[in-house]
Amino acid sequence: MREKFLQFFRRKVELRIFSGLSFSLVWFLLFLIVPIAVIFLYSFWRQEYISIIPQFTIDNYAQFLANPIHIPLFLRSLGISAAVTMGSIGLAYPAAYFLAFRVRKYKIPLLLALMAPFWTSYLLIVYAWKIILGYDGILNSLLLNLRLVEQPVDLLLYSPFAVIITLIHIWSPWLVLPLYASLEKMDKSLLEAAMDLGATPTQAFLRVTLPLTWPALIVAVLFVFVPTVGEFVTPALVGGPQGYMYGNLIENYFHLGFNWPLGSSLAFVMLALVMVMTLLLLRTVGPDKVMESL
Amino acid sequence: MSLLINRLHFGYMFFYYSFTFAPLIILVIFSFNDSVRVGLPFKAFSLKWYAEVLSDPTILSAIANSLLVGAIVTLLATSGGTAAAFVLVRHPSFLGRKAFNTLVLIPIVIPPVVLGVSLLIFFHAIGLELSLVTVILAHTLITLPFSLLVMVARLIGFDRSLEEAAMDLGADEFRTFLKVTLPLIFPGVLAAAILAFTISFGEVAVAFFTIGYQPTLPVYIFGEVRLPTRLPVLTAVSALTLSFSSGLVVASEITRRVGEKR
Repeated sequence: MREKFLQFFRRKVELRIFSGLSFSLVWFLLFLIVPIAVIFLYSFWRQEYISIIPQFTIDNYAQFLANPIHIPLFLRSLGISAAVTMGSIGLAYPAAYFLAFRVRKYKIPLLLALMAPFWTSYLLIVYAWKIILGYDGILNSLLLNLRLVEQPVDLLLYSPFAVIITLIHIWSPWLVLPLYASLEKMDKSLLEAAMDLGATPTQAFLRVTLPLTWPALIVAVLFVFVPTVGEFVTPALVGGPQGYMYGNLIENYFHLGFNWPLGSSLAFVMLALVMVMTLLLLRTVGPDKVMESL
Repeated sequence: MSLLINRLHFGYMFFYYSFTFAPLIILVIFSFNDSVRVGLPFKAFSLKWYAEVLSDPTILSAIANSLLVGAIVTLLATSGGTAAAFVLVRHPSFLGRKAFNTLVLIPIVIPPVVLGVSLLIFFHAIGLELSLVTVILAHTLITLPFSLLVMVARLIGFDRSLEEAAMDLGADEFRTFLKVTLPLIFPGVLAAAILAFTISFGEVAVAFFTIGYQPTLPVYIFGEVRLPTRLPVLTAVSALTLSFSSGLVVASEITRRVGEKR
């Protein structure tokens, strides 16, 4: 019996491939593709009190456009994510550059140290910033004790600034790795050649180093910008009304506001944007390269 | 000139590492502060918040829920991810490979809120009541791509001649897998498992939408954080979790490196 099964298995390559992928395929189809199809469907239905009426309507999308808070919040979320992405790259790039070109000893421990906060619970980092930036918090009590201010500064917490700094803290260490890897792989003789041909260090960086690390930067955008557009946990804890984001709006329609079809249409609008961005970015680098730099 | 640049670089690294670690260190320090306010001045060293954590049944059951979810998710994601990684590495081209690669990346890039609400509606539509089971289903989806990618990276350098030798000596596929392949890839599997566990253990956004009445630890913390009187206890819980997950990350790195040396 076992022998027969094995012989059958050896002959059929397709069967081996399919059985290896089956678990992932089932999971991706059942818990990713089907749920996305379901919110797409829901976004064209409507709700009366607590019952969902399966009747085609584009009302939700009309409401999405008509409501004066939806689009500004969407734009604000894009702005916050853009700031987080730029800030994270801006902080991570010099660190990666330094680790790749200047540090000789303890490279690996230094890199690994930067991974620790990323794999630590994301919520804890948000929580840490909440107690640091709070009205009663550590930064304010420090400023008061040093007599730098008379009154606690209440602008620190509950602002877009708090959201941006928290998210930069969460994402930037994670970017150091792909950036480091692409800098380390770089052919250094190209830099020497550029210098021999009379390029200044700045020119050499802009025309040689930066273009060669381009794929890693694309990955950075993909893995920082895209998931942060939908943030709702960080703004809920440190954002306040000014830092409220589009993700909070969606969350609200599913819990307090209780309008699932409208919430679905909002979620789907964001998903559409994210998917278009992801596919465009993947087209410029290719999924294999993205996987490599993870 | 170059000395100045070196100093600037060094100064920058100092700033960068402080920025990365200071908030976490502050969290740990203030978990030992004998004050209901989390802030300066540091009154006195005390373990009372830790004692409170250990005597709080809701926190303890939230921790137990997280451990249970994490353990099952780890088992599912690691086995599923390893199986798929074997296919991706050993069959470089098959029909639909590109589509599969893209599919793997979607759970990593999709905004958690979208995934959360989709799963919420989906579970509602098929009549599955929200509970730890639905969180397990959701977390397996989230962690699967990570386990898969770790295993792909590990399997690329795998030396197949040992498997061939076993087959030549008369072992069938089952025996070869159990006696040769599995022991060789074990460090990689362990690294993938630890990664899956840490992600599941800390995940809050998707769990928030797919959870029933029993919270996981992050969902519980998320709910309690608004109450100022709970802050010191939560700081102690956070410090405990922090040491637990950093321990896991260090362990995974050690096993990974042991694996690379072999």
